[in-house]
Amino acid sequence: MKRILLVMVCLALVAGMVFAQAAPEANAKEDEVYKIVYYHNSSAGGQDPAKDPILKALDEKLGIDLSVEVITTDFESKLNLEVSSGNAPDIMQLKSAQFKTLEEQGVLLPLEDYLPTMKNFMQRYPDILDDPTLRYNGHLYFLNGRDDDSQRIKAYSSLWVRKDWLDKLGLAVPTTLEEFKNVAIAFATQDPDGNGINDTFGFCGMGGNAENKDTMYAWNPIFGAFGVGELNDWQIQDGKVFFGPTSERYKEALVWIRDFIATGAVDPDIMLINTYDQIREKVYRNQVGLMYMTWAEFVKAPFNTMLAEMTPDAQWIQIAPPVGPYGDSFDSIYNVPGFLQSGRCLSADLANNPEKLQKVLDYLDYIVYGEGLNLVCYGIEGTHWNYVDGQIVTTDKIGEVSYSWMHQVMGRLEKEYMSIKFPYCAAEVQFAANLPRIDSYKNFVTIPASRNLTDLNRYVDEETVRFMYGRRDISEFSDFVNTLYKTYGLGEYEEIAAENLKNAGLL
Amino acid sequence: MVKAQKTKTKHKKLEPFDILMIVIASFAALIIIFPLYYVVSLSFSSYTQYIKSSGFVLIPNPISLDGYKQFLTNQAVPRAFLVTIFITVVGTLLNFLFTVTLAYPLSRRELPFRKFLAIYTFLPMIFSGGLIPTFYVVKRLGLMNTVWAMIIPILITTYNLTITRSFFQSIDDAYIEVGRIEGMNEVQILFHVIVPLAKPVIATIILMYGVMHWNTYYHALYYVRSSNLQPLQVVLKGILMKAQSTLEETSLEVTASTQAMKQAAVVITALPVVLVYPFLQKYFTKGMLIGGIKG
Amino acid sequence: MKDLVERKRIKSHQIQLLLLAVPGILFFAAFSYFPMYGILIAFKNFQIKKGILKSPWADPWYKYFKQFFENPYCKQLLTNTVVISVGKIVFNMFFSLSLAIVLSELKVKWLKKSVQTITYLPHFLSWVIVYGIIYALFSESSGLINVALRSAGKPTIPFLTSDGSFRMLLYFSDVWKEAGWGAIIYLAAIAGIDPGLYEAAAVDGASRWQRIWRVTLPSIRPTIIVMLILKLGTVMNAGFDQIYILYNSQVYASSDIIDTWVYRIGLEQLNYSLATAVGLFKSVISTILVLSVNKIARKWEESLW
Repeated sequence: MKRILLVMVCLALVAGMVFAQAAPEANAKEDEVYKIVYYHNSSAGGQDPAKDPILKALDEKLGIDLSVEVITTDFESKLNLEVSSGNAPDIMQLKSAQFKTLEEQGVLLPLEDYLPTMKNFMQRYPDILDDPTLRYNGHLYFLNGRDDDSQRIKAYSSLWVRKDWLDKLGLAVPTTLEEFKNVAIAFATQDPDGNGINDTFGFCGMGGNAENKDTMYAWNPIFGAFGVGELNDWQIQDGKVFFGPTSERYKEALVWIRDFIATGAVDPDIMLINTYDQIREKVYRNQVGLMYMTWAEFVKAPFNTMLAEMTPDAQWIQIAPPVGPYGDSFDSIYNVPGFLQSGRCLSADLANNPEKLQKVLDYLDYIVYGEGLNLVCYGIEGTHWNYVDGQIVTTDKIGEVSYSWMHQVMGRLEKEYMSIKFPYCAAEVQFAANLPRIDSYKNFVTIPASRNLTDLNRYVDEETVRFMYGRRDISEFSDFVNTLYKTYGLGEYEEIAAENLKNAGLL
Repeated sequence: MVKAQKTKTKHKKLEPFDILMIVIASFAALIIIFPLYYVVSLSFSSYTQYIKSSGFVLIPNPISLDGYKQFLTNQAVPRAFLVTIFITVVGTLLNFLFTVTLAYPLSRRELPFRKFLAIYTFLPMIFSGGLIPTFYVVKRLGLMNTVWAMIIPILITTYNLTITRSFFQSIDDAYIEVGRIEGMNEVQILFHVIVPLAKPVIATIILMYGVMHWNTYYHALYYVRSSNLQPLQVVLKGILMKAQSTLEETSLEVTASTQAMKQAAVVITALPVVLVYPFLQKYFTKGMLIGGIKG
Repeated sequence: MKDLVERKRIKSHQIQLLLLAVPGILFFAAFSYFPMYGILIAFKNFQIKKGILKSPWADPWYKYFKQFFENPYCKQLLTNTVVISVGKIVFNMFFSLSLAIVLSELKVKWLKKSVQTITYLPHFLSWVIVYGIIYALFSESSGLINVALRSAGKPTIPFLTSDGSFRMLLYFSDVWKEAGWGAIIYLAAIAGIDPGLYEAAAVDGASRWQRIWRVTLPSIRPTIIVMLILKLGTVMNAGFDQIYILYNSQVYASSDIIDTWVYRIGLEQLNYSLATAVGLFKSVISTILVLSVNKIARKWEESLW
């Protein structure tokens, strides 16, 4: 025991010495250099500031001491703690729930008076001040404007099918729901990989509890074929707003999915899968022939080389969503940005320090458009990219700034960015971007007081799965809808949604 | 000669009962080791082999060190190791001191207000004021953004205090009386009489506290901002969760950690605590001659 | 006269003992008792900017408790929490204790040491990794067991997506991960047993089984009772990390617990007051449980105070 204690004391002394040497560097900067803190929520982890040329360039150009803190886990509770102890970061990335809480408590800075002074900002988003859909309680809080369709990409996902399996079984690319089902059944039963073992499934995708994805994610195109969205879908039809899962179309989609699952063609893990890794593993093991997936997690580097290496024979192609009984064909819903979107806001504390606020605005205005935007997207001109015939072309050093996403505080010109950063995926990006999507308005539905959206979501989620797997008979669908109103207060949500959409000029 | 005799008696002693114990223990070890082997073999496997063997790699071939290389070349890892070693060693020492100095008085019947103090030290296990006020305390004490924020708020845990106190209580009063008669003060009795007699429980709490510090996560998350003071588990969680829950715009560019890297990270971060264990094991041996303890 | 000296001596020891306890008492005062005013959040409409004390009172004061109890899932959450928690305590204590006894009876030294180390290892795997292992073993489409079943032409088993098997999975993954770790306490207690007791029992002709029943178990009874009380103190927790990583929408009905619900509410709505109210409720239940078990335990002359 004594020996162990002795060893521990020695270790402590050694470690203590190491720490003494590596004492935190003193803040010996001049007074007028303001430290600007931005909290970014991403599990990806940030870049070491010492190895961040973009940060250095920004600091030098603007005379600021910028600190981009990428919080990898438990972002919400960490940010709340900092805010409640008076340490709110100057710029923070918020999801809609946290936004609403912080807005109500006066933590966020209304921006409408400051934006007109930002030259580049107004150039990129000339209409932002006149857009009522972005206002919350009459104020504009989010720094993200809305790019027009020449730059906006609504989604990255699509259905994918193995062309070589289709060819082998003599099947055509499915275009209707029935063909879709038949192809899936054929993939599951006719041994398309020819290994003599019945080890393939027709359809797969991400259906589990992934953050930022509803659990029905994988089923998007099927619901789309019936003209409805997945779980949290608010649509406008004939001047009225309604909650997707209460509609007759939703019921029909459930019946179709139930019969589809009963054929055994669907991967039984579909409602468990919550990482792209799990789907890719199935792809590389030749276990699946039809799936719903985003190109970014499938044909982008390094996945493209992996795919070629693991399954050299596989030919995956993107296909349009199947056409349903009423002629609908939608890949998924598109959540129209509203005042409850997620994005970046400024701390209200900045108003007490106009000089610092001006520095923050200057910084944001610099990176919103033109030179500054290029810097935070592609790195240093001449090192990471060059102009060739007026076009940005990346050099082979572009990999050094692969973390540049964390500096894109003001968003980016999505289409241009994709074509410059992922030129080899241009066709896939284009295909997914052009698929038809249903406009959905959940970003306008605030939660009624004393209601828990969590409970409503769980009820819809759980019962939907039970209907899909035949554990609850579809004849009880009307009971399901009644419960939504009676127990979970759906009527209150509808009233609020209607009012909010009216105020935004959408109804 | 002596040696031969020893082995002979050893063989003689293996009754059916012993065989049964051996069988049960081996069975338990097998059940535990099979999934563990999965982790280790995966950490040495190439992705190709992982895919081809449908998830279970029996023998990594070729042995790939890529996972380990990826983990150890992660810029945050060496620093995080230092931080974690520091808080584990210093933290555990302080835990030991604070715990025994409180457990000993609590274990003595003659302590004034004993029942009150027992309840006083137990309630914090169940009731907590929550994150926000604790955050204030840490901030007021000037601990924010220092290694001490990961050590001082958890100097004593009720769990370890309770098992220590309970063990101290079972030590025969006679030892203490002898010490007192010899003119020792209570501090001397604690460290010269009680602690040497309570080796099994001291080893236990050192292990428990050490592992608690090794796994420090939330205290770092909330109280430490600076990236060069982040401990190992924060880095580890970052690696395990990477790109699993990002918003679409960032996940476009971030690639998740590979299977091999995740498993290698787990193996390396667990290794030091695993290596320490055999040194403490001798204190958990039945029939150790610590003598004179009441049943 | 002698009495007076004796009393003085005792008094001096008492003061020394109290002084010795002062650092620990101060620690609890600063980091446990001072922050307890945070419990007020449960009765207030907490405003981040105003802080705890200046936030307005909730109207009525039990608003957030009402919100929890009127929640349509309240009954289910409570049942799941208690059932899963009690199940885990029972399984875990049984296997930890058995393992400790088996280990202490092992005569083959190297086997004893290695089994002890091996069973202790899984404690250091995080649940994310354990989930990876579980998925590789039990997944219905590609798990080891179901692949074997399918190639044998048998129907597959939905381990992860059916209510019954999912709870078993929770219990046994917990035992697998924690039994070896839990055994340490019992091993330490067994190490503290007077060897003379075993010798006496052997002289009486007690068999090895009987020695376990008559010496080992009664001797570590205090430890078992203390462990039980400590575990009951956390009975309302049921293991958030494990469940949050393992569960899915098909097994909510059998696995959604108070803590996962509070966490989801936090993600959606950031309601500190509701979370604190639920936490307070959990604490009160735990206290009642601990107090009553402690009272019962006193009959065996073992209690926390």
